Amino acid sequence: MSKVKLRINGIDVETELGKTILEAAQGLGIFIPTLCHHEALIPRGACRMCIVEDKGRLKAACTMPAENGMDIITDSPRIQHIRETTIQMIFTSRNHYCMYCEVSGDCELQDLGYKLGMDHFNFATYENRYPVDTTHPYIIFEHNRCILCGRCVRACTDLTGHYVLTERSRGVKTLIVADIESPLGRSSCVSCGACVQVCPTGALIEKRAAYQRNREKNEQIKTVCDMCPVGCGIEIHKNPGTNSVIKIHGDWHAGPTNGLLCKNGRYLSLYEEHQVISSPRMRRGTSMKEIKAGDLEGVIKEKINGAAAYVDGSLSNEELSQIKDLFGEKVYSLRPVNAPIPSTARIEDLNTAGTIVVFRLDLDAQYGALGSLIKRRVATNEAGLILVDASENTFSKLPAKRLGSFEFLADIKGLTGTNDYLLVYQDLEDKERAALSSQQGMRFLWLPPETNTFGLAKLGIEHAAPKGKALFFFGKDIPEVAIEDGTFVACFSPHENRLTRRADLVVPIRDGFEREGTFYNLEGEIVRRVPVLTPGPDRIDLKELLVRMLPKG
Amino acid sequence: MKTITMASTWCEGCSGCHMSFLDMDERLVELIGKGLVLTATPITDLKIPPMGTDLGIIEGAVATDHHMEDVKELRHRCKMIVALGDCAVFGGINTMRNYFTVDELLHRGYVTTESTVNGTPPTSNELGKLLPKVLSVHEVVKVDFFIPGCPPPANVIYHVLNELVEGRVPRLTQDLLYYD
Amino acid sequence: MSKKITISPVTRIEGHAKVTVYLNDEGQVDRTYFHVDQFRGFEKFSEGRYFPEMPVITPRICGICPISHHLGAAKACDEILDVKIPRPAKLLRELIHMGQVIQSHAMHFFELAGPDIILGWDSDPALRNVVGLVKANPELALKAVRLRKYGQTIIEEVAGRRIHPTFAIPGGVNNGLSVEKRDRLLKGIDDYISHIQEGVSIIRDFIMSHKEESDTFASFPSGYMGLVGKDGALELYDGAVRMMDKDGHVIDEFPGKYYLSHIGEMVDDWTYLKLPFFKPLGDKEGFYRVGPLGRLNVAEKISTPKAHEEFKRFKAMNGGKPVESSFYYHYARLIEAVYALERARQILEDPDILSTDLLHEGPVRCGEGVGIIEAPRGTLIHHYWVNDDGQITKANLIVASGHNNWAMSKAVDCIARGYIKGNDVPEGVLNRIEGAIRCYDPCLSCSTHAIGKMPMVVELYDHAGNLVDARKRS
Repeated sequence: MSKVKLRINGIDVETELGKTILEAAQGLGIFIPTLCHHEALIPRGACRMCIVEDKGRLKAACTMPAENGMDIITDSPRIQHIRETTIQMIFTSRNHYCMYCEVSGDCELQDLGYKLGMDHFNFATYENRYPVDTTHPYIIFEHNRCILCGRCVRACTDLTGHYVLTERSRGVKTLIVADIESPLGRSSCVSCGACVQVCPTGALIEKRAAYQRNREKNEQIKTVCDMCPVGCGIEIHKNPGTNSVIKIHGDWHAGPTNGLLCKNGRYLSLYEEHQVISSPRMRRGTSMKEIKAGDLEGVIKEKINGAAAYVDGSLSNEELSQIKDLFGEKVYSLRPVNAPIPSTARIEDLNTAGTIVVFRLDLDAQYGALGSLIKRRVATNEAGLILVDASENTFSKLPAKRLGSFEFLADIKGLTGTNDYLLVYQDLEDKERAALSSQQGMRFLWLPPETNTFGLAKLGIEHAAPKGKALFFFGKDIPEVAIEDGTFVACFSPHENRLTRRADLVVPIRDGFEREGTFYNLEGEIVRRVPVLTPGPDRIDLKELLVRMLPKG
Repeated sequence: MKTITMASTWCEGCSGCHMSFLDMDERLVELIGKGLVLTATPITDLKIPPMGTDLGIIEGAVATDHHMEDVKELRHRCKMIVALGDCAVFGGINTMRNYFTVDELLHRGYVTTESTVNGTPPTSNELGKLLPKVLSVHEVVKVDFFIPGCPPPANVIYHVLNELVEGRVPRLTQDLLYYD
Repeated sequence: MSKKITISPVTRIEGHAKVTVYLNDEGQVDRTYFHVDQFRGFEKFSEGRYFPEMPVITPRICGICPISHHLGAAKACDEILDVKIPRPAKLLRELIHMGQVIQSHAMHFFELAGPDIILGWDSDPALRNVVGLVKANPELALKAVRLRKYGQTIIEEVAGRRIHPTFAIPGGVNNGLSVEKRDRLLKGIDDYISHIQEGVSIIRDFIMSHKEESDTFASFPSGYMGLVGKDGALELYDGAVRMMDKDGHVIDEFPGKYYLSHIGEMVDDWTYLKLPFFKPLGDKEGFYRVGPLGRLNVAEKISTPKAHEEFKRFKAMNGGKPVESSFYYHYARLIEAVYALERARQILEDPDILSTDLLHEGPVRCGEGVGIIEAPRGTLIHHYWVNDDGQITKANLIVASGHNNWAMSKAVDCIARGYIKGNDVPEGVLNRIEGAIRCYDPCLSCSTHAIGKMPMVVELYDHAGNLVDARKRS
């Protein structure tokens, strides 16, 4: 690794070729103010706050590579004056009303103003009004607070590969727009939320995070997302005063996606409307009566003999294991899994494969983070893309070969062991599986349909359609099932669903934010989910309940 | 004992800054004990401060011709002018009316609001005429010191006055600077 | 020779206002005007904002009662979400509302109106202020300061800061109350209740010993309006709107969201403040009063014991008919302060306020929302219309003091006519004219301490508008 030698504030320093002045200075613990700079994004040099002097010439530290012989000064009266003027110009270019802003107290622009001691404007302001776009279900784009740092554009392009946001016009007329100036809610935005996470001001904010910056410091809890088996590393921002989740951030330092998230993990987990089950209830005669948590054991014991359990993939390993202990062999899964071709690739291989095949998958609707990993390499022509039985989704924007499955199978017959193809899929028909399992030149990455599909497999729980006289259902989203009249139906779920409305026994169990547990991720490894919210008194800890029910000894 | 005379007025504001001033509670009495003398302020009922008053504190932005006159008058009579609060310092929330014409604002307020019956904007000469744009105080007169905040916390106001009373020029550092 | 008397500024009201009194050739009062000289434009410039911002934008209308706007706006936003907020959240909102009522009412009486009453209308102007009060009765002054501070502290502890907090959000509130804070707030509350009752005794004794003057001080018939709860109990946070006519008959009762069918606003050329009136009675007969006098007139009881005791005495003051004299605002105000303190204690003793069940979130479900609440000065109405994306398309606000606009003008008129005889206007009269306005505690009753004298300018003009004489009280 080549080194360069330079001076910063009179200190001789050596750094690697290719590092910027900013990186070199930060390595020495020297502060240089920045706004458009972000650890996860490619530097841009848009805001000009990081200006330093090199032998009298002004340079932007975040984009300028360190060179031999540089003599950098990061603080002087001239630089002070530049910083004060620059930040005033940034503030007065648009309209910043801290007093009613949703993120006041949590804003990088505001913090920098305080740090630099900005206490008035030398420029006129508040002349032009900019749009407020609230069309998106989760995100507000408040252009009055935009400082045109371009972080959102970089996040939407280089980082996540979605290529929705861009800059329109020039100079004071510049505006960040979606597609060709569509309102955000009617654009090709897939709601990955990366733009909101990187925005330094209140320009991009989440609707439900408004005014929830808790005075007594919100808690930020690191855990993994449990909406699918990728298990993206996340930081859940919690408001302890109201025991609620404010927002979910991607963890830039945690694999496997290093901060990239998707709509399901960042938003659906919070914004999807659910009806709470207020307490356990049981059918007595023709009506439903509330039962106390303490009486549940007795009620279940009455009905459990010969009963069968039906589970879904939202349950943790611990819960599934207890259910197995209690119901023995009679545990079945609610969703069939097409016996797949085992994965021969890992998620990280998406970052290096030469050609990626997305086989009959809508990666807007699920596994969006993996979709990002694919998109961003295809958009820059680093990787080729083949879409087999393509969905109508944002992948249509990308350069790709679009084939039906029959054509594709024919196409790849000639592939050899040296072709670097990575096929990503979820379901295969029998003849597809037969053709692919012996295919040369191709690796496979199977995307399970549910979060803990692997957990179900490890416990030998297989799919079967519900039948019997007494059925116990456990899970989050019970699918449409045909049940004969006279069957006793018990449903253990975090919220009301189509089954709870007809079940004879309904028990509210803790949801993903309230419980602790492990599941198997995409790569067959165990990941742990930590509890974030305090469950209400009527939210049953399923694991504990089952343990209590097991015969002693 | 050296005294510092202080006058204050408010223009286009909500009076929250003066309320914050009073939220100093007993520290106000302490400052008076150290030599702060209140001349013409909303809490002392005198309207016109004497010439040569040391400190003139202004809350609120300049939105009408009446405010213009008040602010110029205070500048004329005081040695040092302090802009108190976001409205005086930056224009504040009032500047949200700058994107509309005065006619649009008056029309909404006095004609089209749903509860208004047969309304038309008032025209009496006793009332101040709205300026086309709300201005911060230092766009009209020279300001010597700025205390942003909406409102500035009582301890910031106390800090500034205490420094001045003890003969020092304060500097608002990070913990004392607020824009909300 | 006709004359115009200008009182400018009227001090201790929010923003700028003045009074002009026109005398005819015989020196009799011909007309008076109460000019409110302030227009901000909130109803227009809120358009386009995302609606949850309204509870944070609108408190900037007033720095003395920001909580009223904060909560009124939040209630309107709740309607837009079509959500019923959890009970603990409602209790916490009501608690800070009580804090504001305590702070505002106590401060107004002891530090603003108090000097006139305790030291006398015609007492030395140099001492007719809180400093004089401190000298004459230091113990009482200290209690007064503590009362204000207590009300402010409730707000600060629960909502985060005293002025313009961000606490109530659509669907509930954004923070809970810890056990420690709750205990701190409960401590000593009984002392504050007895402090305020001392104030009640002072005003009641003053009234009894100056009965005729009190009964005729700016006394005139009008309608009355206020929120009432179940069984017609006084309500400051939530309830139905009750309208009473000048004879004491309840002529209307409606949920706040239908206010548009019942209340209209007139515009007068000489003031920026509009004049609300009760539509069925029209814009000549339909004027009514709000605030403490209005609320206690329309109420049939108060739900807390000590306040209710005093309330019965108040109701008897005009033989069971509505109490009409503006001066009785002071008495009513203190009775409300007793209620606010007792109600605050009830809320603090309710175990629900420690709950973390404080927020019911959701999408926009309703295209408009009305939030109605009793600010210390009167009924406050916030009405917003939003599009499907939650942006404000229109906003209509009727601010508490506005309802009393007509009454304040009338009060000034009454005093002026009653006391100005000829061209000589003694100082005590000027003070009483301001006193008439002070009864209504319009918007900003500058918390305090009126140290010094009211600057008053009396100018004498002839027909041609030449200044003939001027008298200044400095």
